[in-house]
Amino acid sequence: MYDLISRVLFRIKHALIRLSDRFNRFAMYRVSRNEARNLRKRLIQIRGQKIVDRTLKAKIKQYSRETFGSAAYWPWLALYTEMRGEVIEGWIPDDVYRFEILPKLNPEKFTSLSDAKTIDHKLFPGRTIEPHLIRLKGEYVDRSGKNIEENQVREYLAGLDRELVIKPDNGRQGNGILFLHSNDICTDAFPVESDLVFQEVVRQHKSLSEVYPHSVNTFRVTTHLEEGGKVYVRFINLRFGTAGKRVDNTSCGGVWVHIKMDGGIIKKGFDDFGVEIGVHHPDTGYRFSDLRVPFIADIISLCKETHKSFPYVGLIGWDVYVNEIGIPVIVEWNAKNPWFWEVEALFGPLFSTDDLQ
Amino acid sequence: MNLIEPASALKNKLLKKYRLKKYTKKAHGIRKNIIERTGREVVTKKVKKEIKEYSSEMFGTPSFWPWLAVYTEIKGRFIHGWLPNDYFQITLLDDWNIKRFSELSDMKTFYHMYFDVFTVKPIAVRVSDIYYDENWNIISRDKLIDSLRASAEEIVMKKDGGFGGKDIRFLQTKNLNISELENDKENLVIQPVVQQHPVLSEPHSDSLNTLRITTFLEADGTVTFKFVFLRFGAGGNRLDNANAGGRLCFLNLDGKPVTGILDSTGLNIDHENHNLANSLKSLIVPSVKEAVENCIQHHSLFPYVRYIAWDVCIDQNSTPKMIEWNAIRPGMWFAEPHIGPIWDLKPIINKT
Repeated sequence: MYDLISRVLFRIKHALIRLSDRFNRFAMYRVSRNEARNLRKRLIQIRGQKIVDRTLKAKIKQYSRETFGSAAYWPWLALYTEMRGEVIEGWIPDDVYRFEILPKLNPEKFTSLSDAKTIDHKLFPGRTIEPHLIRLKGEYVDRSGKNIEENQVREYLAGLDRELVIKPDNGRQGNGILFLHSNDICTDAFPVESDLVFQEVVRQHKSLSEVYPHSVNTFRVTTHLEEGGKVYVRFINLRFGTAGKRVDNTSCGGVWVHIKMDGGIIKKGFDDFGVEIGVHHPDTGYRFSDLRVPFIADIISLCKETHKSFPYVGLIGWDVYVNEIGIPVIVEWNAKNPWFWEVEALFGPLFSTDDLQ
Repeated sequence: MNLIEPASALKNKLLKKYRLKKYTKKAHGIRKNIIERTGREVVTKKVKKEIKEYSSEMFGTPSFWPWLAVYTEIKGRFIHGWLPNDYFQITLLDDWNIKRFSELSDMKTFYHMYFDVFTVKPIAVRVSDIYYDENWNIISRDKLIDSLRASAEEIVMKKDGGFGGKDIRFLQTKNLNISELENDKENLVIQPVVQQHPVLSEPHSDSLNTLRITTFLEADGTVTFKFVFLRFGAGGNRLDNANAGGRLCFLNLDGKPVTGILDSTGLNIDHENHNLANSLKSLIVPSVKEAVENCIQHHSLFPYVRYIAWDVCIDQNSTPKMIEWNAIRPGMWFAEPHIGPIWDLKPIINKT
């Protein structure tokens, strides 16, 4: 079927692919472990003390060797130890999570959909925020699927007469998000390259606004679909914006608290880095432990049921807001790299090794 | 790290060249086959020159001539306005149908979630080795067999990612055993076998004979229909796909054939099937217009990909039911020589 040259080229091609994959793997792990080392250095500087001494490091390496087959996984475990103050057996280092566990649980062809905010309302109808408009490859489409010419977008949106949030597909950590009133829309302000989703700025439950009123403060719920088909919630955090920011993402200065499954709040808040920020919100002074979340059962139920309806990935991080009347709604979902290492370090182990077979 | 982007761009460029080469080779093979079977060669030196000039003018290079030559051999003459298959597949489709959305068409287990009553309702789906009903309630393996027996005498199992009729199995439910469902652990959908309209059984009663309808999301946002053909099996095969020896004939919106019987190389084979060819002349497939309208409507609600090929059956109640949709590598080249040109080239070439 193939002549000799084609056969040779085919073999060369596959050898190059294998070589490229090996190099990529090496680079990925190296970059990840360097990140862990740098974060640990920063943490030691902030705290002014170092917990992982030589003895502890040897213990960590031993644990790494026994559990993961190599001592090379020690950097993330060392970072966790600095954060927690002690070594906890059962931890999963972030490089194992990202490069070994996640690819098996979350195949890429499905996870890439979690970047596409424009399709969320199709995948999870009735459970997410319904957009007013989406832009796909430069074309604007309204709720009914009808195309709107770019020169008519302004008029269309002005008719809504409300504040909108405009989010790009592939946007992460709150980057690229625009808040505009529909009467002040100028299409020139929109990012050129990406697809966009236009949603109404939602009104959250009063109890969450009291903590910090300028952002929609969202719950991050991570669900895990286990082998038998049951969905478990692994952790719940609640994020708040700070410093007048409209978004609650920790990379934009937001802070977070950990929530127990019964709705109880761990009294201390944390920053992006997992460093404690105290028991009050830095701007409003609201004491975190005074917050009540009676809707936690509904949030858990929403995320579990929604994950069940998309059993193609094993781990999903859901961002959920609670509306004025206490009903939770999904803002977005993340299956590429759901938030993990800070929570694992401070409140984990979140998984047993059996959970992730 | 600065090397990654240019390396990636180079890799994509080389991959594109490699894929174009493969398509060109395929065109040469098909053309050679046609010439051998017809005993004539339409593409003379002069015609080839004309084709190359057209290719240069329209597509920027003469190297798209092989597929245009295939069309010419089939049609018997060259027609300006044709779109070569390789240009369509490699240059246009990659831009029109973004991978992360087009790959949804591989997920047969998920169809019922966004195509509601248009698709055949599943009895069960299996995802990650767990069986679910259509509402994602887990079904135990014991209850599954009972459920299948209660739903249909015969079921069809289709794997996610299967194409060309591969990875499809038919099973009787009467004495069904769970081990028959578990040759492997891949994701699959289990549906009742559709009872097709009697008219569709006429060309070949052993297979489910489907309509292939293609729709295109135009630049102004309207969805248009490109073509429809009827596929039917042959030789007692259950499937109508070309890979399984199936044949086809193009239809108009009234359901009447506008071509003879065509085989997998696009050649008319009426002379090999006189009785069937004669009976097709009086065939009127019901509900074709309704099927096309359904496809257009559902494509409008799914504007994430621009070109979709739908496989639709007409059931005993004349209701169109979507069996499958294809957005990863949906084809179109058969249509060009027989009923084409089907594209208005100016807007689609200028845009890319």
